[in-house]
Amino acid sequence: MNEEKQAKLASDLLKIDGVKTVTFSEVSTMSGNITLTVVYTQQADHGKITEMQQKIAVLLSQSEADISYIDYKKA
Amino acid sequence: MVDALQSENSPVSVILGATTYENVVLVATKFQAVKGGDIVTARTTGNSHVPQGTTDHPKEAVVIVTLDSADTIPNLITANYLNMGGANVALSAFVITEKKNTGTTRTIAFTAANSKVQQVSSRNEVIGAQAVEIQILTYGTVTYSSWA
Repeated sequence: MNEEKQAKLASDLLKIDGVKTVTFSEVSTMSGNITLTVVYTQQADHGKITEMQQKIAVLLSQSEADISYIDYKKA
Repeated sequence: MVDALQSENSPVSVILGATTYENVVLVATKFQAVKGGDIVTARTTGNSHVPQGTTDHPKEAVVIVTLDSADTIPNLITANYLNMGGANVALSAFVITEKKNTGTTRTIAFTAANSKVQQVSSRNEVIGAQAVEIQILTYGTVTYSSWA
């Protein structure tokens, strides 16, 4: 994934309700194998977290960004 | 004696294009065989779907989605994901959501542009135990998430 595409994806991800920060990291031993770390705001209603996960997943499904794993961390 | 069986992680919704289906009966993912080895080696040659090289990454999968809804096939036809007179177009999004018995959820996202409906049930109505089954052929990156 080139830098321009990555920046656009990061910008779109940050617009999703509940997403605080996003980081891309490439697993050095696996070419093109990228992990996306998402720091999210904890919510009392778990349905809102699921909704956030689904919006992120749909973006990745459409992006062809070769991200193999999304790691969620509470803020 | 077991009082109740609880699935560790159960599919709770499937997003096919613009529609989220929550009446999921089952989801089964059948990955192409892998043989280990170099991750970047090409998997297939020509029109063959049989693995030719060696890799740790499954590149192709058939995903069976069974839904308890008679709307499924008409929806697929309307979106042209199922074209009776020509080629099916790729899904615009393909995501499975799973839920753990602790309440946390995770998603499995497939590359939409590489995901096409391959086969559907022979009828589009739900009768008794019969639900609507769709087979989707997909390849490319599969994005799993952690539980949150």
